[in-house]
Amino acid sequence: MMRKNGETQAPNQEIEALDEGPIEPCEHMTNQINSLADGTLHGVIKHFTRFHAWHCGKCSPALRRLIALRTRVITLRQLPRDAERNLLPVARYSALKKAMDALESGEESSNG
Amino acid sequence: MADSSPNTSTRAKQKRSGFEKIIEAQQAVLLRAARRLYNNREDQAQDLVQDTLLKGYGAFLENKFEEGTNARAWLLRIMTNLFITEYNRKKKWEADVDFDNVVSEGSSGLEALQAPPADQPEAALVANVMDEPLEKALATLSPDLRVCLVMIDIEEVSYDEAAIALEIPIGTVRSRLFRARQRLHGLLQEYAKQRRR
Repeated sequence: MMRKNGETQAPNQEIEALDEGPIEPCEHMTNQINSLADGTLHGVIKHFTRFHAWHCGKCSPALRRLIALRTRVITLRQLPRDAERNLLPVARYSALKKAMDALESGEESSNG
Repeated sequence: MADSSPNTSTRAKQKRSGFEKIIEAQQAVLLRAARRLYNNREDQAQDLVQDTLLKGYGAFLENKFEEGTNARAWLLRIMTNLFITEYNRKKKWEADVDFDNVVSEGSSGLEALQAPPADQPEAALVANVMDEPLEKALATLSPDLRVCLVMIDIEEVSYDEAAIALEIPIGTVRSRLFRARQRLHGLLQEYAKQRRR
């Protein structure tokens, strides 16, 4: 991302600067606006909520901010680049295997 | 009567190898979720993953997992259940603290966000991530709110599955998720303002 003066700006700073103010939708629309932001709202309620948000001075910015926040949170779905951090350490895995062996023997003896 | 026939032994081996495949496929996701639930406290996160997998294996041996269904959601459900049980146990000892407003380790949200790395034991781990302010803000949410946000927004668990895992009504999941997002947004805005000053 480039600023006017040509200085590079991190995407996060860009997002932070985008939209200031609290997330405060109309009280009776809170759940709908929240669900609209994450795509879990469907059917007539979805259309009604979009229509409401389009015309509402509180819900419109709230929806925009919720979507921006969620877009940012979703980036946390990336797994660590360091492959080791994606695996249980060897000692942990051995301990787990032993505990699983113990479970199996318990299972066998209870079956017996 | 004990059945030690070769067939039984083969079945047991198949079960074991089936679950080991699940471990292989899901451990990265479980570790990621556990780190977020425990604010990047690596030891606690690994404990949680280990306990989850062991409990999962117990259930797997009892045929409580339907093969072909979503193993990830199933293990995440076990994990959040264990986490919440532990959290509730601790909560009993801190009953008079407002967990929705208090932040972990007793500091305010903004203080936690601004704390220099030296003051944050988990900073070395957080430093590896792309969006440090967001990770820190997430860590300052109360466990009740954080677990909803981690499950739904990061681990892509449905509202229904989250409600089952957390043993709360779906309406409570919705309201906690909203409060989590609202608070996170507030913290990030404060942090951005502070940086601009």
